[in-house]
Amino acid sequence: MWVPEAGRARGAWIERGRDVLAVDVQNLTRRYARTRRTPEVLALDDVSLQITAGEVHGLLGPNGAGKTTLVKVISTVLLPSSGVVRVLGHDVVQEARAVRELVGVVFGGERGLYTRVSARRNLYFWGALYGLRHREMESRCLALLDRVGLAGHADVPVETFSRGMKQRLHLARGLVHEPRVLFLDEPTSGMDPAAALEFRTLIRELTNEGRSVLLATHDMAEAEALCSNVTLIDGGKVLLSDRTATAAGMLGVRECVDFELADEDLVQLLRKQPFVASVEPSAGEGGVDGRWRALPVAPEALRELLGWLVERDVLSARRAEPSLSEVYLRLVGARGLRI
Amino acid sequence: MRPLAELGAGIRLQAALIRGAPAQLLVLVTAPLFSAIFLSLAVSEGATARVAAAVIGPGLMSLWLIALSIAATFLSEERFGGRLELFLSTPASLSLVVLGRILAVSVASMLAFAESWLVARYGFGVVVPVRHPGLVVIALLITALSSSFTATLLSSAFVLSRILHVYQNSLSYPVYILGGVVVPLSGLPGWLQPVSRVIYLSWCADLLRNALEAVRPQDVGLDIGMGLGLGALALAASVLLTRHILDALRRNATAGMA
Repeated sequence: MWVPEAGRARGAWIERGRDVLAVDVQNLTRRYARTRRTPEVLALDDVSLQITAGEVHGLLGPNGAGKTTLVKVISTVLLPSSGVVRVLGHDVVQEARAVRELVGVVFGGERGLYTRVSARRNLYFWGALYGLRHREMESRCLALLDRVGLAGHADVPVETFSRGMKQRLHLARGLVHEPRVLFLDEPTSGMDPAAALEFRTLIRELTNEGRSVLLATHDMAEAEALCSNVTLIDGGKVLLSDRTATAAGMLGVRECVDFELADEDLVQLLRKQPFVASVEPSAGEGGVDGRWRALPVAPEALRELLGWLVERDVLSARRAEPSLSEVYLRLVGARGLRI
Repeated sequence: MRPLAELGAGIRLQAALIRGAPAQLLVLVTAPLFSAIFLSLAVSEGATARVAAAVIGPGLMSLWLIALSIAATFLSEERFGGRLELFLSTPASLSLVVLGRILAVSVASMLAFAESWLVARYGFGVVVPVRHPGLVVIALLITALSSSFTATLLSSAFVLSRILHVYQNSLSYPVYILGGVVVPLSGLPGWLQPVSRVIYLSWCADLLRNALEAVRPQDVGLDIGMGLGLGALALAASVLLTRHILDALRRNATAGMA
């Protein structure tokens, strides 16, 4: 039994007469076996993660961190090597079929659609696999295509779609059976900014309907805007799992200082000060025009840091809060293009 | 009802794909040419007894060729297209969807029988009598079903291979010969006939010839039972093999690899 609103307590669904989490991952390990060409890879190493009802949970991490592997294990596409994974109380190995009825999956990229047939036909096909009847499917598919902005292209072959349009269709496909838990892997890749904003509204609507969402993304702004909780993984290990609002606490400070300074020597000098934890180019600006962000070693060092800057006539200095991007960069490290 | 819905989903999708790329039914263009070859041999030799076989042969060849073609390419295309992984996340039976898709092309390829009959009628002035129309319909239905069942098994067996087209090419002519498609089994060496009897097409070919030619068709029940039974065995094997292969794909993380 699913009790959508009234029966929900402490972020859990009542399923089979007991409270259950939307997703409960415990000590999950997934190895990719050695082949003639590749060594054994430990893709997920003792990962634990919980997602409650109506929660959007961000899954962050660099390429190759294990995000997609985690999504695939939870959605029954891959078998775990060890550990326990439950979706709404159903074990993904022992009760895989029950899990598949409850979850929707949207993998990123352009693959996964039948490009020679229309958007409507794609949705009809996937809907039928979930046992939707024709009449129900007709109205639901049209409503979904309308919801993702493709109603005017319902009968156009998908091969003529732009990447962003295909991504929207992927989202509609993932929602066709009205899943209670939705796994989204890079769902806005290829979408223009306006569509990406609209996507955020859609996700909020879905959570208002009581659905839970696991959102794997590289887009920190998206994660900050949508996710109530985030988990950062790298090398198959969980580095951080916390509420988004307090994730910056991982850096040991709640505030930092943004400032503009063209003199690189002075920046180097600031880095050597005992009250400074780090000085990095401002996120998104690259520091090319002299914008920087400094983190104090402790909250009480903030005043000292500001004073040091004012003494050197850096009047642009202002207090700010560390962003999720900074947490990400600090924990994952500056690895450039390395995987 | 759910299995029928999954079967229907495969049929409707394949029908839409054929509308989008009719070249999938190219065999319908080549079938009349094969008919012309077989009929010219039969007519020039005065072997009127072989005319019915010359009409049936290209139809059966087209049916097997198109079923084999989609069986060989289906799952590799799904893997390469990123759809197999999505499929694994659904509660549907892959065997049923594959069967539906193959069934759609098999039924469409039935047109080759009509083409052959018309080539005989208007190209060679030979009318092949349809003595038992009801039995012909049953025979065509069983042939389409068993071809689809067998091709579904092959699609499962081919999924892990990277040399699909080698198998596809290797399995066409041997089946034509052993299935009694080109010449009746009575024309093959005696030691080959037991091997031929394992191939469903040999029973289906007999049934079709009986339905067209025989004044009093013999052993119809046996032909129907064996034609359908061998196909059903292939389908059952396919369901088991597909389950095993999907488990392996989930275990080895190879569903997404092209």
